[in-house]
Amino acid sequence: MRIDELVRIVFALFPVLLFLTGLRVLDSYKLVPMRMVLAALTAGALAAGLCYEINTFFFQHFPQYSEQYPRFGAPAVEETVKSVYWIFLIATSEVAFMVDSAICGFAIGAGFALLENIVYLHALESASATVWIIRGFGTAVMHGGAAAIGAFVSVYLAESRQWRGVRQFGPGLLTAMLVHASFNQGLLSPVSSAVVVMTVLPVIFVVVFYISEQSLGRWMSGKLDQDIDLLAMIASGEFKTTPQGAYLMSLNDAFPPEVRGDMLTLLHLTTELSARAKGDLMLREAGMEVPADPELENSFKELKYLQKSIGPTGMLAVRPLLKQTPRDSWEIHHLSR
Amino acid sequence: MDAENTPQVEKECNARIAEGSNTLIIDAGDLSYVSSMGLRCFVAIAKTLKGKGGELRICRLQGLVNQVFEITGLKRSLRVYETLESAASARKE
Repeated sequence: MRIDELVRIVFALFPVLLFLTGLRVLDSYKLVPMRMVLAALTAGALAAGLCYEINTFFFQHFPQYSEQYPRFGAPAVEETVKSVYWIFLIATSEVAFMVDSAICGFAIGAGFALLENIVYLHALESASATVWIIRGFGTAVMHGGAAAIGAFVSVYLAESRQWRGVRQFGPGLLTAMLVHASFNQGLLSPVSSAVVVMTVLPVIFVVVFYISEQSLGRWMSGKLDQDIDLLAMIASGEFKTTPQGAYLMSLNDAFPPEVRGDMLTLLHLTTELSARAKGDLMLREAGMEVPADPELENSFKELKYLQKSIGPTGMLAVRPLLKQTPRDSWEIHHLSR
Repeated sequence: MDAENTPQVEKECNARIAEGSNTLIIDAGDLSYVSSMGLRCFVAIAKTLKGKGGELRICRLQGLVNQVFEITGLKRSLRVYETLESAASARKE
């Protein structure tokens, strides 16, 4: 391999991967496992392949819009296709914190940019090193940044406004499209655009990571105290004096005693699992090792048994007692991994 | 150990660490309640001591406090002993 080829490859592919590594290092909790990052990179590369086909189709069938399409159409198409995977991760509670969503979103964009740049490495063999610096530091990092911003805006809206569905994901996706479209307008020279991307994005990420970790810490402490108090109430027999206990007592006529017993056990078990997840977070926050817990498997078996025994109607009735926020669902996902 | 008295415990432990101790034993026999702040305090002290080549040993966890340590998984991550004697005679890991 010639030196100039090596330089092109390094500039085209490495900046975005270095940026992604930096984001993972910045994350104190390290909740995004490597396999999730690799899956996000792959999803991003697949998105790039699909977008290549869509964009080619558009250019072939609507050549009269070939000037406007890269500025408006392509950002909308590419961010929509990229968003499929980050929306999936957030909607299924695989990620529930702004930091994690930013890392996964960036990884999707990075996967997209890597495939795109690999294609361009072949297509633009004679391009100068400057082109690869711009593509590597500007376009590639912008792809990661736009998807990351879309993802963390969506998590922020779920956390702060309790918005769900289109209201949760729509503004994030729109923001990602705007960021991408702004970059594609060509308002600045390519070099200036790359400089802006490499200076503004890190600042945004540092601020987002700080806000997210503060919020995570507050949530962890507050909810853990609630879990501890609830477990103490159940253990001491004072549970029926709590609002949750009163609610369970109100189901006396609707469900047989054994189902009500299972409901209480389910509440106890989910509270225990919730406290367990926060214990994990606490250790991760301190950079300490979290040992594997073989007993968790039994807890999840018990959880499934209880859900089956209570039945769909009973589960609907007990739902107000169980925590239902995305973060609460994430806790169960996190422990079951 | 709640929001009110955890800082006191933390201050006391940090003072001992500053004096040069790198292994501390906390006898939790009379501890009846621990909040998230208390748990974070234990984790922080354990981390500080580990960084100095020592360790935190906690002994005689009772009732709810024992249950909380078990449920949160801290009993598996921190060094917890049944008695003060076993904590004192334990070999460093």
